[in-house]
Amino acid sequence: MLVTLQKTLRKFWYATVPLDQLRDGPKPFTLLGEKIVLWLDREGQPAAVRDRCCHRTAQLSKGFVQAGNIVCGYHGWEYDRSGKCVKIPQQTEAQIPAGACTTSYRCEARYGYAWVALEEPLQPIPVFQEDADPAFRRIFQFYESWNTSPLRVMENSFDNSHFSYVHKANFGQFDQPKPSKYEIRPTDWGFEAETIVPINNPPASHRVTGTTDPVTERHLFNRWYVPFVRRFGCIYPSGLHHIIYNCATPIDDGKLMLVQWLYRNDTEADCSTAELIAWDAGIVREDREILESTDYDACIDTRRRVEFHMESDKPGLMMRKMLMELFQSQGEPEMHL
Amino acid sequence: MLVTRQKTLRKFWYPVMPVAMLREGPKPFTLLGERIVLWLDAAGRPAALRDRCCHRTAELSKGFCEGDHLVCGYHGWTYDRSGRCVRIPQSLETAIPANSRVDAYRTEARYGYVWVALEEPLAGIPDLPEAEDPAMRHIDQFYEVWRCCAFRLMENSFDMSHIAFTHRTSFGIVEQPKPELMRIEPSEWGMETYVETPVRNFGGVSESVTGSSGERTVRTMRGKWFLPFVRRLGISYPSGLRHSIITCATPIDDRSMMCIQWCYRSDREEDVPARDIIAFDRKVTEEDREILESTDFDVCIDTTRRVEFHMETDKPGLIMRQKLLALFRAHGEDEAFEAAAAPARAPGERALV
Repeated sequence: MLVTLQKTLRKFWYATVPLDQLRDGPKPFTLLGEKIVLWLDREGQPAAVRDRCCHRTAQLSKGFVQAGNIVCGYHGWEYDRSGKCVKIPQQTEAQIPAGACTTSYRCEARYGYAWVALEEPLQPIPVFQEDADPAFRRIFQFYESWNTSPLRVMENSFDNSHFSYVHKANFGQFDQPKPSKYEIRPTDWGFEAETIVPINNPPASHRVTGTTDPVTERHLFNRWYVPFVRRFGCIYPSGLHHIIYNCATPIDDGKLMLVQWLYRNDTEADCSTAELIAWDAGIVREDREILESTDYDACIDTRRRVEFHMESDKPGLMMRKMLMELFQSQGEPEMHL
Repeated sequence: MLVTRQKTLRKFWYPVMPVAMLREGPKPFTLLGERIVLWLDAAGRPAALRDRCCHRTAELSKGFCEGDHLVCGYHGWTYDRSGRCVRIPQSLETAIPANSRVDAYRTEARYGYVWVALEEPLAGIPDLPEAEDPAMRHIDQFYEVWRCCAFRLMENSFDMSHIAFTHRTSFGIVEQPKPELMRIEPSEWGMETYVETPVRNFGGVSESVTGSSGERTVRTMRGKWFLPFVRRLGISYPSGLRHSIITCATPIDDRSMMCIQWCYRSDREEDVPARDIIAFDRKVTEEDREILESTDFDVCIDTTRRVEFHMETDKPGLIMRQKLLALFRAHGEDEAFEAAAAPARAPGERALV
């Protein structure tokens, strides 16, 4: 699957740039191969347009924001959030040429990020109930670009078989390679997967799990949201909730932005932000190392027989099937090398 | 405009490298997509050949000089400046095969640089009166690859409107976006321009470089564009100081160019050290580079294609587009450009099966 060639993928919301990063000026982002510029308008709401001035083609992300509009850094042509050129400072008396504009995209602020949809979205931005719940704090964990396909990240996050190997130096139990089974319930736009996983609990993770027992378990209530968002809902016997959302936002065919944040129902004094980032950083680094070594052109039509499969691959196979059905319902085949 | 596909562009002189860089041996350069090797003969005259040995295709720039000749670093086949193979060290007794040669190009040393023309040139190397003027000193400023089309830098250097924005943190006055009117006189092989403009005297080395004190000063600018990618900008300040900048956008390929800039100053090294002059122009040049490298490399010169929007002050750039297009058409070619903008792809990405 070459994400930039699957037109249906343009019809979803994706988390792009953290809103905090937009406070000091416009920023470029490449989404599904399309170069866009993001900035904050006069109301502090994020806006997104194609990153190309219609005058001399310069990237608008090299410019600056003035009264909520984006100003090109080359000659100062100014655009509003609808992409319309609203000022040509060299000829303020003359009319702005008809058609002087750049393409604009739907853009919304949610969960601390600017979300963008390139075309009319098929689904709204997913609702993450913890965000509005005062019992939870939100911790931004990772924002880094990975050289792999977003499907790999999604599949990996529902794959109980890789823990014993990829994370053997961490929470994985190398001597128990047989994974616990998921109970999977398909939904209209993804699925829910529930399971209980026993894990090692070395002293370094005591404050994360909320217990000093040498072995504990995770009651996982995970979700996959088509196409590239997942919830990792982990509840420890201690009562601690460790709820991760990650978005594998597709930059281009071989590259994604890993956007990950966390909700916890404890306090900074119980377990610090730095500690929680450091804990998950080790796990994320292990995943990245392996996932960046896979083919980015991940095959979703299993009839092509590009990969071999096993029983515990079920979540990943369901993802492939649902994506294939979605593309077919929108009249497109899988695009691949 | 895809420069490597405009055959007419092969019929001009381009500066490619400082002569001094060749004193240590042969060097490669890509001009309009053509890979060439440059070297100095025994008399110190520059020579240019296609950078490919006719024996096993190795780059001759990996070799070395011997007297008047260039020796391939693979098996020692030796070439003279006309491109003829004059020696095959493994078979000195047998005749050198007929036609064992590589293409040679016209070269000349001028203003401290090697100039090359791939085909019979339509115009001479630009005349620079400052070069002969004993009152002026020569300062080499920049020699660096820019990832943009050569045309963008030429247009930019006659564009008064960008100064207020692109150079807003150096000498531009962002509160005064409407530029002074520029007088433009097209000529057979380019155009001449004249404008006086107030500029910000931006502190640091600025005062000594402009020879003026105070927050603002005035630049009198006499520009000259030499088709296709050389410009001369003669700046004079109220102090009487003269500062002439020569900027050459030598086309490497469709996406990149060599930015070659030197200048002439009417003051002495004791007045303002060369490093201050370079530092002053460095900041300004970096500002231009940042923006120009973000533009489409396939710049549209046939405005009837309506790829870009224009404004009144774009006149110099529009004249350049017209003159280039007229030149191409006079030589039997039209603008060459990418048929349709392809979707942005990852670098090195493979084609679909």
